Amino acid sequence: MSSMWGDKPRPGAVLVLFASLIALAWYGQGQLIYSLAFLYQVAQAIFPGLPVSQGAP
Amino acid sequence: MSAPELALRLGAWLIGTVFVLALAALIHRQLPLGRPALSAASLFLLVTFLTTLFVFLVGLLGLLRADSLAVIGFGGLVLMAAIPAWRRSLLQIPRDFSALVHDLRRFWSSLPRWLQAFSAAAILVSVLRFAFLIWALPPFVWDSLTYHLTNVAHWTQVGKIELFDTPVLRIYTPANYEVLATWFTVFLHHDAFVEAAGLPAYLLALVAVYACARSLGCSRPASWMGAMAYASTPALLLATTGTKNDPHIAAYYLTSLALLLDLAGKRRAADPRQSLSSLFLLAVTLLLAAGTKAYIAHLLPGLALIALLTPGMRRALPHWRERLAEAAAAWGSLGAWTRRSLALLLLGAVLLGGYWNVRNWVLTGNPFYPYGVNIEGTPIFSEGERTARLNFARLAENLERLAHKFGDAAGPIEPDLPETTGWGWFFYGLGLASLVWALLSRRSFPPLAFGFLLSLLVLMLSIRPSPFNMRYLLWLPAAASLAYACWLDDLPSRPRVLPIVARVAFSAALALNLAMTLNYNRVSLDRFGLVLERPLWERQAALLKLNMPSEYEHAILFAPAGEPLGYNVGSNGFIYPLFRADYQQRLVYVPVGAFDDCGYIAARMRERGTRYLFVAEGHTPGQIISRVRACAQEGDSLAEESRGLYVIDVGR
Repeated sequence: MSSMWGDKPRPGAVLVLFASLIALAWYGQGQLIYSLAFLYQVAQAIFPGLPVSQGAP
Repeated sequence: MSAPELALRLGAWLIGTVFVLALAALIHRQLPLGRPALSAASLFLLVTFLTTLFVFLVGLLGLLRADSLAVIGFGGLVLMAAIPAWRRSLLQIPRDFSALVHDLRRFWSSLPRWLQAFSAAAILVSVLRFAFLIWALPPFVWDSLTYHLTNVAHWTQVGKIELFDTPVLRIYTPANYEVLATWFTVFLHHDAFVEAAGLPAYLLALVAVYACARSLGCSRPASWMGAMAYASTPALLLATTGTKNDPHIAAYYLTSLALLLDLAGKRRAADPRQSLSSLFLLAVTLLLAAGTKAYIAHLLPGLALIALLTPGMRRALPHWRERLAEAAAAWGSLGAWTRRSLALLLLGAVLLGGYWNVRNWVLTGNPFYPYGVNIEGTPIFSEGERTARLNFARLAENLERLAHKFGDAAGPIEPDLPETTGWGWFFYGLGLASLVWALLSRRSFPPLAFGFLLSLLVLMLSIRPSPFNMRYLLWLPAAASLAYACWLDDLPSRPRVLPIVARVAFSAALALNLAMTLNYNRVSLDRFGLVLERPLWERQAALLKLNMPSEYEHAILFAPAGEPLGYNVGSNGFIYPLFRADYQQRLVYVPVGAFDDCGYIAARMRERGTRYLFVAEGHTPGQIISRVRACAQEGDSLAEESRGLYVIDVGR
């Protein structure tokens, strides 16, 4: 099996993981509603009782 | 379409495909690259190139019909089988296929279990998503409906690659993508599968990113995760089935990068033919790109910088001299037949790369027609409806727009990218931080990053600062994906929570990227329902009311398909929907002036052989619509048949 995660570890790489989590949260502020809008529409079609979404196209 | 006709047409498509695949396999055998990833990329490239070349040559000869393509394909297969050396080579294909399966197995077994499961799910969902969108929706992206697919429709209809009278002058622009897209329409004489024309580019880009990551020294699993991350970029996913040529440019850029990294990183090739193969394929890729969209020229300085920096500035010249000497020696060692075949192929690539601009130069005096060219205020070519400018003011304006769109916070990511970069969850969430890491920690990464940056800056010097210009940057997120692959190999595996968090973040980012592209962020569930009520063969671009004025629907419903339909739209108006999905509607452009006499307009229509005139709000200049309406109200020469559709000689 090829190396990944741990064969040549650099402790500093952990910082990137933390930064990524923060960046994901930052990006999600703007895009989460749009990203899930269509899936929400599908869910609404299956469960008509769900409230109407604001982000749907 | 009746079942026997459909079977015959599919049979013709199958013969054509077998011919192209056999030819690609033959050539692929002559171009060893020594690395499975690069070898796979070269196979995808050759299939794309040969398909484009085949359609192009047949189209120039005016034989662009399903039966002609099948006959030529069959003849080509017989010829290949008749030449002993080629037959021997063809007989090796099963062995090559076994080797490919072996490489794939080795690759697959190198992936950790969770990644195997995630990859299998991602591939399955991607295949289903692509298949559904291609099958369900007709084309609807703006530029496709104005000029990309207008070329495809006309060529498919008349069986010939040629220019035609239309106010949308962008049909003159380099059109290798359109040639390839014609492969997806000509056999069925229908646009049901034309959105699949982006898939070869998508696959090529995916494999190229993987090959680049391997050249940077990343492990197989990390390289594969980087490639998957790039493949999930929303802008790329939306454009792939959006019948546009930008994914092709991205794929050619990244393939060139993969070939360059391999050449630049090698100390000495084990087989000198590998240098020849890489250089040959690099030339083919760039020529194919040159005939696809001119902005590949703006990306080249970045690639050149990577080629210079990767071996090291001081070593660059001797390094490349050595590679060229190896290639020359390998060329000399080839048999006469192989040399002639490769020379012919290169000639084909030169033809595909230069035909469109040379044709424009001969016809209009400007190779870049309909774009004039202006460098820092000095007109180089002034003939054209738009001007491509190269200046620093434009760079600043474009960078400002990029800064505004950076982060994708201003709105949903849609196919034309009006408010966003379209780079998605992975790029911003995981890619950016990885870029910083790779720049600081990997010696092999800065040359690559500087190359990408230079490509970006040169592009920003020249592209029109329009709200829709982010489509030119589809290749850029690959830098973050490659950086991520580098970072993955550096992440410690203890404590165990670290790789678990990394897996979850990666999976979530890719899933969210995919989720927002399921409906192009444009098509509501109800709209899907309405489209799917129609059988596949009756789905029309004109009937998909996403960005389509109702006049187009009326034209489909009320203009007789057996008669030529006159139309008048502006230089950015939709023409493609009027052809109909089965390309049965003949079109003629009827020039109309805002102050033309009604009788003169009617005479113009007769002169062009049509009784009908189509105009549409938002696509035909308002003054012309008013004039035509006024004529219909006068009632002497024109009558309104339906909204946007006018007719003369009503009683005929």
